[in-house]
Amino acid sequence: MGKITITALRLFITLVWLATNGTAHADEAKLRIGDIIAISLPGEEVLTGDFPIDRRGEIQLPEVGGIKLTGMSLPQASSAITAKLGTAFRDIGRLSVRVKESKLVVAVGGQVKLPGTVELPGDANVQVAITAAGGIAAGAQLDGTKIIRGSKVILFNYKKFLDTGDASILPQLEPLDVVFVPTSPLTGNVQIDFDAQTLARAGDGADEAKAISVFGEVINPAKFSYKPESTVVDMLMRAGGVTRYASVEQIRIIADGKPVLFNLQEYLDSGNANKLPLLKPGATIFVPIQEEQIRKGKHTVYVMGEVAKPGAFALQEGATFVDILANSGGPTRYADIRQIRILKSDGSVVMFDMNAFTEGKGGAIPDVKAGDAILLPEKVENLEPSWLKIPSSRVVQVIGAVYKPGRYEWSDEMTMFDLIAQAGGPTEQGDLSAIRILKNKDDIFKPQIFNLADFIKNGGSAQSVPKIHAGNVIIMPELPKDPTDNKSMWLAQSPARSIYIMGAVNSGGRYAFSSEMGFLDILTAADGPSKTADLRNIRISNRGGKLSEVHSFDFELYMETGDESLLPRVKNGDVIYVPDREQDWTERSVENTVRVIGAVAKPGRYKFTDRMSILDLLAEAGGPNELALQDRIVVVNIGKEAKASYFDLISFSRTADYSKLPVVRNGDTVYVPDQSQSHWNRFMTGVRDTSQIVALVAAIASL
Amino acid sequence: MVMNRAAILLLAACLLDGCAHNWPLEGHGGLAERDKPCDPAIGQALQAIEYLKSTPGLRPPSKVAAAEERLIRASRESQAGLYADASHSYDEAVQMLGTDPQNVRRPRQICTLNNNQEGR
Repeated sequence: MGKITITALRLFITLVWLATNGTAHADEAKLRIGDIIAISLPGEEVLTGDFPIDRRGEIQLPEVGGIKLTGMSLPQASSAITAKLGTAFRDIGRLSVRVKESKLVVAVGGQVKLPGTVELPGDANVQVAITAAGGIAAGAQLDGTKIIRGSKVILFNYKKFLDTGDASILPQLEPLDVVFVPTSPLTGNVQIDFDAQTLARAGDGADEAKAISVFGEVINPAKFSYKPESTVVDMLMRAGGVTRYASVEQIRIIADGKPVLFNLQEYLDSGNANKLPLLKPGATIFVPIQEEQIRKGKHTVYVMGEVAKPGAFALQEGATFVDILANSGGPTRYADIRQIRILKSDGSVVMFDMNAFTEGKGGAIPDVKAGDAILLPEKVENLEPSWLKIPSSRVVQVIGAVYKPGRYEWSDEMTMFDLIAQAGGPTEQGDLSAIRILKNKDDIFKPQIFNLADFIKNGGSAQSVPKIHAGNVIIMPELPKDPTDNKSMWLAQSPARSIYIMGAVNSGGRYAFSSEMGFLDILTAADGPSKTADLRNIRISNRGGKLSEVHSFDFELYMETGDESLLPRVKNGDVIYVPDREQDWTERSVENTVRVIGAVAKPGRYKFTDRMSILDLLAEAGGPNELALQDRIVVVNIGKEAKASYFDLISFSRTADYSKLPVVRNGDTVYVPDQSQSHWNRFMTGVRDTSQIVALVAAIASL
Repeated sequence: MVMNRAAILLLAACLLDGCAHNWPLEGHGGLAERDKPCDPAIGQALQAIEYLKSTPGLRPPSKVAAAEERLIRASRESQAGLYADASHSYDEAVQMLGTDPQNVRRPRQICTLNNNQEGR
């Protein structure tokens, strides 16, 4: 019972103390601008009402004017008001003064949505003021907010308040304070309507000196505000994380001018926080791109050379050589998969012929372990710099008119076509019709000629293609350049591969010839026959055999009939001679000419065809001269039988009786006698001679 | 008497000289192809040539052309009385056409033109 009484007594005392102190506290509160003072004086309506303390700290009362109340407690204010009113009113003993409402007037400026003066409850804080101003606008620098109180500036970290909810971070507002929310420097000097996501990506590092710069292969490179408890991983996460190309094993952190390498992969694999480097204010984090650095690790294999995606690959348990090769995109078309090399971590080299393996010709898939390197060399070209290392017994040499002459490593599985293709193929001047293969046997080279042009055109058995072996030499000859421009080029042209054309042509000479060409090609190459060419008697000397065979070709007959079978077949080494129609008659053969002798302008041997007549012949010989006995032109036919006949040109010219034209053929003779051979002349000669004899006899008789 | 002998001697000398120098017969056949060949075999061969010329592909045109020329020569020779030569030319023409000369009829008809004319 006694205990209960004591407890109740203590409780009573406490309540009384609280009540007294609370009232005292309220009375002692200083009045501020914005407080509303409620005054009541019964019987005086003008003095009954609410009177706010204005910006000057005064209330305005009727008759007495302004009374400054700020800084006073309520009793002090009541006394001041009573004293002031006592000067104008009587009976103010019933005057009552109390604080009806406490209000706070502040201005909110900067990066808020509705900057301006706001009227707040007396106990409002900064957050209430900002909210009354519409809230924070995008682009605000939350850790740089400030309150301007007269000439005093109070900085505070509003972001920190938002993060922690710690109201003590916020300064106590006072009337007429200016709450200023600055703009983030990352927004630059250009007014842009920012969205929150963009701004967040741009980072929040307003303090240049302390902000952490994160760039490289991260999603949102930016400057972020430094926090002592932040780690590199936090910063990377704030930057949106790393990209798929990031080299997470080679992240570089620069702090205090010293770079530190951070292996994020290793940290994530181990979970060891000791591997996290210390992040200092102002540090720079750089995440390099994967290709720009060297990956190295105890689980790494390297694939180099002619693969689609060379690089370092993490070797998973159970992964084979084929898996690794497939991950690297596989060999490119330039890869020499016969010469794959596995460079073991212990320094040894394992060769692998993937081609043979895929063809089932043996070999086993090589074992690849972490630290090994797989090299797929390029097919041939990359061997060139080290050609000295390849002995001649393993190469074939390709020289002459190909695009890439040189030494080529040879495998007997390849063909001559592979080799020519590898050498870039023949140049435009390459002569495919006479590829020369020098084969070495017992240190003696023997040539073999292969007509690839003919093979390409007509095909043929694969057996007919020369077999190439290492040590052979392939020579692609070059077609001669135009020898008419530079005849010295003929020296470079093999006689066995030339054809000759001479005589009555415009550009006689020696021309390169192939089996694909014909007589017309050569005649055209020689710029055709000259105007005086005797096209009926073109001679071709075939020089292929031991003895040359000479054939005649009537080109005019070919032109008349178009008979292709007339065209002579010519080949390299042959000689074509086109005679001149105006050649001296003594140069013409007897069998193919008609002799015209006697009293004509141009006696000689003349060409004659079976469509000509004696009239053509006489015209060709310039016609009978003035002494000719024109009515007794004699034709002597010499064939199976010999016979003579005469032709009366004078009579023919009068009668045009062509049935009296004598037959003339090659080998015959036409004789045009002169007038001394006429009967009258012969008679007169006889008379003269006889008269001389008679005179002589008479003279002798008179003796 | 002496004058009579001299006159006789002079006349004889003149006659001997002029009459002893005989000209050959006048020639023929120089353009015999303008007329119908006197030998039917040549005529038939020329008709065959015309057929071959109008039907390309049966024989090489150059062979046909050469055979035609040779037949023209045979025709001329035949008309000129050079029968052996005419027969030879005919054989050559037949050969050019790719026919065995043994299997064709040979020209046998002797053309009788004015081959007996004497020279002056």
